[in-house]
Amino acid sequence: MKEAARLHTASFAQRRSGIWRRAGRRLIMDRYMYLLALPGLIYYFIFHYLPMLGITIAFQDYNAFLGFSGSDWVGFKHFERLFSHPDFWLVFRNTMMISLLNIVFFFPTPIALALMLNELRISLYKRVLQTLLYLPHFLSWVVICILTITLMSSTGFVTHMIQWLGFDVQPLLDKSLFWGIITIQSIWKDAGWGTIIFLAALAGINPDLYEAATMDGANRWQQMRFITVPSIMSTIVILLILRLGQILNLSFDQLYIMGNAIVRDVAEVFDTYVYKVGVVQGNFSFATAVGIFKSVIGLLLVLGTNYLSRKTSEHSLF
Amino acid sequence: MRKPFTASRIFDGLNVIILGTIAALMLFPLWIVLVKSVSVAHVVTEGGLMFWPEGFTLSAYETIFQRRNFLNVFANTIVITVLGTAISMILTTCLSYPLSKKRVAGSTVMLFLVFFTMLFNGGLVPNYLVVREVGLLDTLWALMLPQAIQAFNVIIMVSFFRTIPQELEESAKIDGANDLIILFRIVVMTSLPVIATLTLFYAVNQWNTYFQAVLYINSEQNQVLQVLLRQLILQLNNQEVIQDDVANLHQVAVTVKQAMVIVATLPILLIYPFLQKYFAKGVMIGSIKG
Amino acid sequence: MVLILSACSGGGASDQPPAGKAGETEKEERVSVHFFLSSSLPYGTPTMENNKALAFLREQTGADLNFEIYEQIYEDKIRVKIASGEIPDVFEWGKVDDFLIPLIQAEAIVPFEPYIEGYANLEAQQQLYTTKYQGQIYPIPDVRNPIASQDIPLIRQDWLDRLGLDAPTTTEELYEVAKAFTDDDPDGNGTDDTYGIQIAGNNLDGTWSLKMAFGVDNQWMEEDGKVIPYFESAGYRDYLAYMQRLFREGAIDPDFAVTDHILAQNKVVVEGRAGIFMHYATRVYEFEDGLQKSNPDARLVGFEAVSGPDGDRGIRARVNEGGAYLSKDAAENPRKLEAIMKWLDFGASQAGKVFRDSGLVDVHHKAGQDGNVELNQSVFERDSPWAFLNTAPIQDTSEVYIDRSKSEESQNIVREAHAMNEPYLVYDETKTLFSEALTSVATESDQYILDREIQAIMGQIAIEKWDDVVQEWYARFNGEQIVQEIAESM
Repeated sequence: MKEAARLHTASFAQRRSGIWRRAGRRLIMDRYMYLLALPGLIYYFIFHYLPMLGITIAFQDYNAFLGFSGSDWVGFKHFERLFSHPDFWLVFRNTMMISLLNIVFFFPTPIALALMLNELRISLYKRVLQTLLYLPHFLSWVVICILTITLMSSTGFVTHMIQWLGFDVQPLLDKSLFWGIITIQSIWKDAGWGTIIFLAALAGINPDLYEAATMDGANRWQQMRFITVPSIMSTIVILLILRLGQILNLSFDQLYIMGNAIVRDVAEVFDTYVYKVGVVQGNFSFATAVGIFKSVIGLLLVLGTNYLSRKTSEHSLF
Repeated sequence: MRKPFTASRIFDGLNVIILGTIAALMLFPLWIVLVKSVSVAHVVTEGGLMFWPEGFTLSAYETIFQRRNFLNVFANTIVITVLGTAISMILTTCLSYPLSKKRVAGSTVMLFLVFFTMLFNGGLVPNYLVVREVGLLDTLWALMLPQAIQAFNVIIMVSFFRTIPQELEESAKIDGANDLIILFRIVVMTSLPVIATLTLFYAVNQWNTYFQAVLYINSEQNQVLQVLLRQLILQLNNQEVIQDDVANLHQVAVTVKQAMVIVATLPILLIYPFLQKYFAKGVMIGSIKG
Repeated sequence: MVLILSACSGGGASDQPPAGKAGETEKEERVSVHFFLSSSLPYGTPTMENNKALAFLREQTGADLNFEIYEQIYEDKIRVKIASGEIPDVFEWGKVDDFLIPLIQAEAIVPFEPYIEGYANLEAQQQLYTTKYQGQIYPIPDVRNPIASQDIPLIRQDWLDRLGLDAPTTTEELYEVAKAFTDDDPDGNGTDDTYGIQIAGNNLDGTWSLKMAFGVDNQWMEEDGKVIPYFESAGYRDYLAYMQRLFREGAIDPDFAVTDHILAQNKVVVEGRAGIFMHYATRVYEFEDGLQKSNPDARLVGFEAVSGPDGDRGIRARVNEGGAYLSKDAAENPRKLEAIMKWLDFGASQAGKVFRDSGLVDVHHKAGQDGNVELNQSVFERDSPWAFLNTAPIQDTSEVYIDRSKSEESQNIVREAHAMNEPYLVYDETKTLFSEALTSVATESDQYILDREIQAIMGQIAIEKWDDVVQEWYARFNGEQIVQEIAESM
């Protein structure tokens, strides 16, 4: 009753005083919303946007002693250096390929695992399995890579298996296998952890939907196809968009340790390249410039896929 | 009626087996680390595979627990994990709710501004300067406030809040509730799975705090676990800045490195079982019908 | 407290550091000096309050010394420190790189060279201060006896004995022994699980002693009247061919390309898979704690660096390139400067060495017989005296890397390994020649050549094709410019 009365008053006032009044009213009605958002926004201002000013060192020859105001401005010099590097396209290709393989193979895995876990009947088994699945997430890349190297060295177990199957390869020294190994490692490490979000999404599905479907005679496959998957589709789309934003960001530790002289041509990615040329050299301006490049590409991808997604489905980030 | 029944059973059986195998595969690296950590030092190599301890000993753990200041550092870590997670969850929830409502003017812009920080970052020096200016240097607050909200988590929560049926909130509005009450009484209650998830994410992140701790914390009494554990590992550093013969002479046993992994991860692993119950379904029943 | 006061009288020789008197100094206006150092800190950051070691140093220099000491992410910490506008009076860094040069050019840092004169302990080791920029010594490094090299050849004596072989003296003999270690089951366990030489793929540690056997002795060499990088020399090509042959016949760890230095050590001292290893002699201690525990007859000993076809041989002399740098502000304050030089000089003295190893007598340790000391572990860890000094005297060769907590036998092996290789030390003065063009690409260039050396050893690049690699290097890194600048600064 109150709501209806309020709406009536609003439209009356609207006709009389126009857009500013309306906006003002909107703000007052939503005042608690703004209040709620305020602490978070302050946080972002202080700890993210203030420091972001420092990104200008990408356009300077940053000198720690002279600081931001004292260092020379060099415009796009560092970007030019990046793009004109003989290995730029190589590094770009490697980074993109590993990322794309990651999206194609790694991204769906937690979804599949979550759906499978969701179907388990015995609650205890399900909970134990969940816990076991995400254990590798807690191991550092150092541990996982050393293990991989051991298993795939010339005397390693996995190597023996592969050779027994008829392939005469040294997995760690084979360029064609490198990207595959990296992808499998990523899946091993984080697929289990990735199920957590999807399990939470699955937990939010109204069980009445399943009841109604069963009564209508739908079997498990149909229920999964028409209820389960669509219900988590918005989560999937959002995560995919976010993942695309990180497309040029890979795990430095993993690629640094797994890289070696023989596979260098397929293993050098932006993060390892920047480490060598920026960080170790002490050239932080250059490192920052590369970071900006990666982020701009990511941003464009996010905006692009967000737009596409909004047009083709109801799910989108913005 | 029989055919779907059998197919369903086969699927269940396969499901159990496949998931079980995958879980075992996931367990085995940590198992190896655990085994090495309780074995006698001279048989353990960095890369070797061991499935059962040789010569059971807890000396690696003793080395860690006897380390000067261990209890204090452990306590600090508990504090930043518990308090830090609480702060993060409150801030994140309060921020996410308004941002999830399209009707709130500017919510899309604000959401974008939050997202933007996922991609663009000022870098080490500016962040350090801000923390310093705010007066947080060398305090535990420096490990809780600068990373209080993670944009990824905000976006997750926003997208979850958007899936809550409008009727739920509207029926509450009709009963006279304002936005705050709706948030805390209704929205949160129906979002327990995502709250549990983000709590876990923040807790793990806080527990694993390392780089910020090394950067912002200078005094021993404010240090946290991951930093202390790494101090026990002396690696021959290839960079010329640290070329110390102490490093050459006192290489730490591989077993201690393994024990370090266990001490670093076991406590946080124990949190998950407590959060698991919040992943249960069915909290929505009855709220609309009434 | 009583112990300290009573021990004071036993001060004796001027080399002994007196027992530290906690904080009892004259009240006067002391200048404050700020140090920013990196150090191994296995026991955590030293406590500064009531730190007897620190108090002693303040006494020694007559100044209020303040230290910030970090082990982890040191480079990031000094960077934010300077960026916050607080440049320490003294700080540590590695060689002169893209971080340091702008600081030098902005006149934030000055060379130490003009101030060394008059400090006997520093002058005595000045020949090891090799890092220069524009002809002047900038940092004062934490020197080592040059024999503390990473190239010390080590070999499994028990394997030699079982196969009836002698330690190799030439590259050809090394080849024979390495082959025997690979093919003839030297550990007598019936399985084909051993190989000759262990090297680490991430930096090819220890291979310089083999490079030197083929006449490759310096980073920059002169051949046919021209200055060339070492990998362009004829001797280097011979070295590559040699290594290629060894690898092809399985005498080098087949996985060396994916083995980092930690794994490489493990393979020798714990797993016992390789018979020949060139590294720090301290690996003998890990061997004692590792393989020898389960295999008491196993022995790892040193042998002389082998000579090549032309009789060349050598071990890279250990010269630390980084060190403590001096800020301009500190240099222009005479009292600060004096305190700093005294601090450096003390570290480089014998007394400084004792201080670093064991702290102060009767506070951190008790002097025992035959130079053995008994550490008061908890106080020693709390005060961490070694972290407060950044210089050291050149140790006597017989004392280098001697760890008294290990067995007599291991100590002697280390001693002998150093002694027998001392005559072959080669000092590479070209390593610290400065070239502007090289500085900003140094890391990339090193990785570029390292990668290709590994590929060549593994046979993926034919020796005849090595010229192409050299040409690519010139093209990619503006080699002509670099070579020219190096030649000019020679």
